[in-house]
Amino acid sequence: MIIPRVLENPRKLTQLVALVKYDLQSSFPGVFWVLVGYLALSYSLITEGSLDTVERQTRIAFLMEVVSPILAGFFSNSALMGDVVAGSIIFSATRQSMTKLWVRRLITVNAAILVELIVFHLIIRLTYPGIGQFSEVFISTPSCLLVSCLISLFTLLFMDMNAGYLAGLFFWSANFIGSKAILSIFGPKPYIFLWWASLKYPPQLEQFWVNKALMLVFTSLLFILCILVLNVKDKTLNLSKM
Amino acid sequence: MRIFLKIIWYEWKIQCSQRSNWLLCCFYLAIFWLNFSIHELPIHTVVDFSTKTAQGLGLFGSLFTAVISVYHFRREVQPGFAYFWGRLLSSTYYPWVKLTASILVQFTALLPTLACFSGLLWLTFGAEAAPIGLSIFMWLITPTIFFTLSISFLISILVRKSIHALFILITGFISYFSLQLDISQPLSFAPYSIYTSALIGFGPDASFVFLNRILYLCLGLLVCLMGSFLANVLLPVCYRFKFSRLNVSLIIFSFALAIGSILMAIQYQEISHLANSLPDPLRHAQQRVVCQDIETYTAEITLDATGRISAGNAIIRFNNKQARDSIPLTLNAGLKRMEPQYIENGQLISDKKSGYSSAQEMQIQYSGRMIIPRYSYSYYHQEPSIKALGLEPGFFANANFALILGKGTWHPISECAPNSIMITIPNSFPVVYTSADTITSGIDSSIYTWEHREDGVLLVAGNYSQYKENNGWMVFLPDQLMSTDKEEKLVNLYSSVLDVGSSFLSIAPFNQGKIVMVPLIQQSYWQTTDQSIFIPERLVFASKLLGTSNENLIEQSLNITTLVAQDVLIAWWCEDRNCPDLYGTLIAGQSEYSINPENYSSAPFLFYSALRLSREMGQQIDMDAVLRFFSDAAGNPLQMVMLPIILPEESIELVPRIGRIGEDLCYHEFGRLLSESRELSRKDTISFIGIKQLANTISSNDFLCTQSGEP
Repeated sequence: MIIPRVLENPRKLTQLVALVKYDLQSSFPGVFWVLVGYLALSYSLITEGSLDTVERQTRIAFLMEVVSPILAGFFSNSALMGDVVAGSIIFSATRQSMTKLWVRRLITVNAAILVELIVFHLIIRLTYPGIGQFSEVFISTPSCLLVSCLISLFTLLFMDMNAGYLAGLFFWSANFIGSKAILSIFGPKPYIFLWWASLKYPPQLEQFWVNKALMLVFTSLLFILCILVLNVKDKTLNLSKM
Repeated sequence: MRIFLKIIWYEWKIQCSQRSNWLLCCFYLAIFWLNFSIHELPIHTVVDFSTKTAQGLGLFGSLFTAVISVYHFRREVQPGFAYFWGRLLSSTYYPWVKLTASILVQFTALLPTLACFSGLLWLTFGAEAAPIGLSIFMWLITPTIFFTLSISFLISILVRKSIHALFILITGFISYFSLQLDISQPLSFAPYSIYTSALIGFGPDASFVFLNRILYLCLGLLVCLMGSFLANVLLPVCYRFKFSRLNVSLIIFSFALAIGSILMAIQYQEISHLANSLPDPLRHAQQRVVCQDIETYTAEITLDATGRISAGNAIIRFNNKQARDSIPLTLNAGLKRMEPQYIENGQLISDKKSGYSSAQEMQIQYSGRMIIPRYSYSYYHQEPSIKALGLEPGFFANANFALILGKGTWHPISECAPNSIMITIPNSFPVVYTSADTITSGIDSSIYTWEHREDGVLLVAGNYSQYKENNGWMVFLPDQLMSTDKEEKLVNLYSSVLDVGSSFLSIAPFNQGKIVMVPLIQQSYWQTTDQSIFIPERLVFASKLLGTSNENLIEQSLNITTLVAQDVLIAWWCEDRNCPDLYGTLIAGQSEYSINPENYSSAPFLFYSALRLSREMGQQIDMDAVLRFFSDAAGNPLQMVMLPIILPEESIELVPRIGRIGEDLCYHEFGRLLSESRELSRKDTISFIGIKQLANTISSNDFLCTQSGEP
């Protein structure tokens, strides 16, 4: 609905770009430089001369599927809580509901991560034409969304950013550091870094799309829970109706 | 001081009131319960369980600590705290109050986990296990938490915005974990738990653990001091830093700490390099050839109360036939030796070069603390040539425990057992086993001497808290090895198998045999002369003690009794030799240790013998079904992978063939076949034809079966 209207009116497009820029900046000051730094670091890691093709692919999968979610989670945690901590949320909440604000910023942050993944993929394709498929960019997206929603849910439940960071890190590190244990206990279906794991511990590729579909279901569930929690907070504050 | 403590108390209360701390508490608990399997707890030692818990919580906890602490460190740096910074006490003690309170908060969050941890130790190993486990846990985790907090503190001081500080910390920790998952390295948070022992604690790793933890405490303190100096400059304090006497002494202390940390890190790296370096199996092979040229070889060592070799002396005399240019020496890297003229580049050079007559004695004096290389006791995959060296140093001693084998790098020609050995050991070591010919006791120390060539275990001394008699066997077990019922089950099994095995193999009865559990060794050694068996503390089949029910008929046959029988039979078959291929394949079920071609027949022979011994002990083993299973598997790769042991194809088809021979022989006949095959294998490689011929000879003398019936 918004996008066709924006495309019709170039002025609105400028406004949208400005809004996206503002939303990103309010989520994490200096986000642009962080993403540029991440790309530069990733490039230096994948162009290391001593790597063979499989090792390089594993490293790409690690950077795209394992590292990106924690970045997405980190940025989206302060999407709304930045205003809460700064005490400026009352101002925003009198103009639009916190739910809408959170959804918009969450989408903005994840879109930024998606763009960053696309750029990273293009860099890989230019450097190593034989490695990588475009679908890999979208393979990482459910993991990013899932971690973002999980962190947001805990933050909103406790109204404490640290709670979100803790929950996100616990979930992320259990899946990454304890990858073997998680895979052996729960199997490959619910594992969030399956692309990376399938390159590291080869056997589970046939579960791939089931895994990604399950992750999207979980993400949607968390997303709905976040909205419910935010609605309760909105009603408590009774600000959105002002 | 009272005010300082009061501020800490209030700071602790403020930090604890944060809701995220309750979440932290839950996550610590979750990590603790996910870190181990409660079903397997009874077969773990207290040290092992405590180390694993500290390792898991240290690894995840450092991430959580970093997250939680940043907000608390920067809380008063936000606008609206001008009054706070205007007060002398607040600005002077700010860093120390924050750090101390944060450490207390972390341990408060750990309290439910610690309660569960102690409770489990209490229930599984008894009341005395809880304080031991807790002390190990605290010793391992405190430096980790302190170091993480100090780094968080420094970053919080340096970076103005909390969110940026947090981002830097988290990316830093994540990058570290991603790039360096080997947590035994110097920049790590916990030592490995796989080398722990109920008897010797961290054993050869004790020095690493000590240096690692002290290093992290020093680094943490250094970072704190840096942070406190920077806080004085960067925070809005109203009373700035002055060169008072206290501050100058703090600066000097910081420099001393920095230098001390660097020296400690260098020492850690040096020891780590020596412990992780691999041996040169060629030097050992060259030595083995030389053994026959040695006429007399005397080794004398004196141990001090800490287990260090304070004086070592080896006297070698070659026989006149000796015509080699050089003989490589394999003295342990931790021992420093004198360099007489007949030693050059670690080799004993010939009389032609040194001008020494072969009739003359060559003497090598040495001293130092032995460094036990990791490959010699590691259960990880090793090259077969390295694995074949077994416990290559043949020695381990600390203040509480000593183990000395005849062959080992504690003397310069490690592959040749000396003709004469003299070991002087302080009386503080409680000797539980020795094969010495004479013992001379003094006021402070005792002298143990051997006047003949001795390859096996020479001496074991240690605080074995369990000393009991079981079926006529004296059993020496370390305390808190596993839960009491599992310990009893294991001891009963070994004593029963040894009893039946001795009669089966017609081993002359001894007054009272000994079962001694020994750390670091990877296979059992059975010294039949004095009926003593030394079993490894880390039994690879310990999980079978848990008694999981197997539906598979073959797995049922390969139960704990059969495995113990295999262990005892391999120990008897190899006696003082290292047989990593037999042990690895038959007992550990490892595929990577492919059987040596000379053991192609002995491996299936020993496997069948263990099944037979197990059956004689009353185990329900359907021998026909087992032999049929092996017979079907031969030449069928799909069925081969289902076998309980991984053998080469040649050996698989020998199992039913040997089984058929064995089934035709009675109990005593088969025992005799086993004994005579062993004698044969000492001289030459044993083959299936050789076993068959022996069986034919034995079965023709059928008086053995009529002489005495089956047990």
